Amino acid sequence: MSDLVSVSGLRKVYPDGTEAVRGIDFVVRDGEFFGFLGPNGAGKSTTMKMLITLLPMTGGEVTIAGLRLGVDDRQIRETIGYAAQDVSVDEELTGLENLVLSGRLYHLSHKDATRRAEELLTLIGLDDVSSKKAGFYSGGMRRRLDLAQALMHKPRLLFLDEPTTGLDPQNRRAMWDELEKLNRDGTTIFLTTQYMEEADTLCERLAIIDDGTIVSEGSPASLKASLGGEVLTLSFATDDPEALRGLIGRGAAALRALPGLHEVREAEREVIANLADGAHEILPEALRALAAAGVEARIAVSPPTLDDVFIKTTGHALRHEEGKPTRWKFGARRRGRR
Amino acid sequence: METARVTFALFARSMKRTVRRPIFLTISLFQPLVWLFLFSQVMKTFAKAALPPGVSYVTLFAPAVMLQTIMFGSFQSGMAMVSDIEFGLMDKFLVAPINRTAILLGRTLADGARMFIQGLIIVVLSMSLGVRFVHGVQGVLAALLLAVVFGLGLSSLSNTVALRTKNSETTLMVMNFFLFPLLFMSPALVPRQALPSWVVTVGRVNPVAYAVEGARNLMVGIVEHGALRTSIDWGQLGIAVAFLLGVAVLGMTSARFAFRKATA
Repeated sequence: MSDLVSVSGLRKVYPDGTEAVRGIDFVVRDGEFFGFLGPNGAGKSTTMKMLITLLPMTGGEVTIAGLRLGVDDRQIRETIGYAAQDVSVDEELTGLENLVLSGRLYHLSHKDATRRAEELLTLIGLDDVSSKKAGFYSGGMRRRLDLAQALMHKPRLLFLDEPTTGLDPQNRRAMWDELEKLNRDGTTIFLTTQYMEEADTLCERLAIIDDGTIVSEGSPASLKASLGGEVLTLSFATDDPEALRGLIGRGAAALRALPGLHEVREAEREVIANLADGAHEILPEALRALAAAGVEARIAVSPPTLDDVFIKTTGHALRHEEGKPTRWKFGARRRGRR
Repeated sequence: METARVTFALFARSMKRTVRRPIFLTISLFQPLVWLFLFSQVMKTFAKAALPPGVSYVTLFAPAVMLQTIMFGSFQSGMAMVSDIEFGLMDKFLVAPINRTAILLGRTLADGARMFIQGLIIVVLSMSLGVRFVHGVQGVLAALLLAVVFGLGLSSLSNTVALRTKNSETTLMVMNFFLFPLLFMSPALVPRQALPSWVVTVGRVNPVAYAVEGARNLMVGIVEHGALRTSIDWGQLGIAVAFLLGVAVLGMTSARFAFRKATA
């Protein structure tokens, strides 16, 4: 696969001196489903806003479909579709009118725009409410309408900024199906997300971004494999903080003494350790050691998740915070810039 | 040609938004009704002494209400701009492969059309109150155009404030802060003969004064030497047109700059 997007040394320093993106390199291949995984404030949205020509970059080189960002912006805009983190639908217009307007912005004739809009409305299951004002739509319906707006001109590259943030599980699942289908049909997709599960389910390849830097990159499977082996978790039945702290301390100490376990970490309510490859045989030993230390715990062994990758590479857990999206200059009042 | 089509699409969108929102009716109908029916009732006794015999207050007041409606409706433009920014619609327009001038131009054209309609409603209301337009349809149309030119200057200024503050309350406040004093220091509410002399002096640089007198000139005639002059005072009209065109050009230029700066 050839590279549809290639980014090198991309930086963004805001006028107030905040360095939101600290010189990152990555590529998105033609036809790929690529993701940026990271917490709020990591620089995901800032990166995306630069790539879609909304925010000038401070430094670096970007080409999109062979076009140079900062030079061929107009042609880049023709090539790409974008759905923002906050849906951008006009609440006073109907679903159909919103789509037709989007089509007109991409130079479709009124007739072609209407035809395409009707096709998309059927596809996203909004055809029966197409003549209702978008202001009456539910959150999930708005998201779908917003996605359809970005698809009016059949872009070969789709940028989605946290496409499921704020959606309930059912709507999220439906959106995932939609996106997978689009990707199968040939659209290259670049999305940002703060949800492990989303990155894991959708992305062929992803970059973990934290504090403006890409900390690791690869397929979800290879990222997880890089941790080596499986993950052992001790959890405890007590709710008493004092007792819990004691159990965590003694449990961790008992595990540290065992060969075949590495990186034993004390979490808030659990002890987590990485199992060396094929180290299942030490489980009975671990049980004995814990019993000897007087630690009563539940032991679970599971394959590593992206969560584990995230903690390993960034040194902290990924927390979800809803609703603090990045905006460019315009958003300064309603939302804090990240 | 492409730009013209996109401009039209954005114009049509702004118009749909305008007529579908209840604020449009409030500003275009309810407020002027209060001014025309209630305020003129209260004022007519006071104003009588300053008016030439046989000239009713409402006759002189009607062009002013038309102008006021357009003036105070002009901020809708800046507030809609803030709303577009907040709802991400501006981003949607900016990532589209269009000439960005179309974004501002479509909005301005819609503002002009909206103001024209709002002004026209007042004209019809005034006729129902017995106001006679001495220069007929041409006079009324010319007065509406003059008021719209002034209104476009103001709506552009409201866009400038909106783009700089990104806050609709601030936009409303800043515009009111300037427009109310300008209104009170003009012969809009009180006949010029009843104004203190310093206000008349200030009126020489007050665009609202030029707009009101210009509109009267074209619609009902202006008071001169203790009588209503029923032929057009071309001298006054010429200065008013030049002055208000100046305001419009200034407003639009500042909005263009603010827009460029915000979207750079």
